[in-house]
Amino acid sequence: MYDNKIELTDIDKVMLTGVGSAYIDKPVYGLPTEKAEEFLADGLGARFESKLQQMIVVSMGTGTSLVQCKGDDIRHIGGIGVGGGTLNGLSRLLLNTDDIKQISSLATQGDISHINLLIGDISARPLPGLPMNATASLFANAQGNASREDIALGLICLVLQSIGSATILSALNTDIKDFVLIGNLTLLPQCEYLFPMMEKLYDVRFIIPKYSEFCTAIGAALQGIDHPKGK
Amino acid sequence: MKIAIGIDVGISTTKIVGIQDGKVVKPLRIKATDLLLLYTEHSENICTTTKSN
Repeated sequence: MYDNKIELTDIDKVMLTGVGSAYIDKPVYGLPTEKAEEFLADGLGARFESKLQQMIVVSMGTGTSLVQCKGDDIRHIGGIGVGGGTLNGLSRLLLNTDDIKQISSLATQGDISHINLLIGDISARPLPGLPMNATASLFANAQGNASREDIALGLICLVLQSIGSATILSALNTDIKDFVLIGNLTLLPQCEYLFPMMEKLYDVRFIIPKYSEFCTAIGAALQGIDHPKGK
Repeated sequence: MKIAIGIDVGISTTKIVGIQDGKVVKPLRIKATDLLLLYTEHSENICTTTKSN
């Protein structure tokens, strides 16, 4: 607040969310402080940033949670235990580092065909709805002497493609085609081409809004301003 | 108009934003490792101050 020239008297309310907020049970700086419901915050923040009314919000943090939004009907529909934590853990085992900048930098030099089994590896021609460069099996092509660059790219693809696939499956039997990606993993540069590949394959839209990593905090603040009902 | 602050306290990172006049202001990210670094950098001063007291 000091750095940003914000006075305590400028602040109306402080809204806390996230797993760590459970440990904070006193007013922050003596200001009115309340808890905000996390999944509602995901939905409100993604809606605020994307301007969409109907979407599935994909919160890619340590794990991944899915929140369906239809207007003011915002509800947690599930999630998968694959996320940034998975990338960190597997990178510690296979690359001896969990420095995400180093991992994503290594991955820019990787070749995914050295790690994943592609449709082109098992079929002489494209299968219905599956082009030759679509993934048949993650890590199925990995050899014992794989380079660190290839492993790094393989791990990032493993995490992002698993999340993308789970997300698309979560919208089956609905008319939702828009998926708003939020959370730390949206900062991975590999998102810029991996999600568009899935968009083309499955005829959906993945949107990474401007303040993607801050959407949950934005949604928490919004709960301090107005209170749409979540379910 | 006053600011509503939202704080997302995560496992590895805490994010703080303000909302004022319907706009996002001053988004800020703090990693757990930043706090550890801050503590490490200042712990010597803290110890010195404590000793001098």
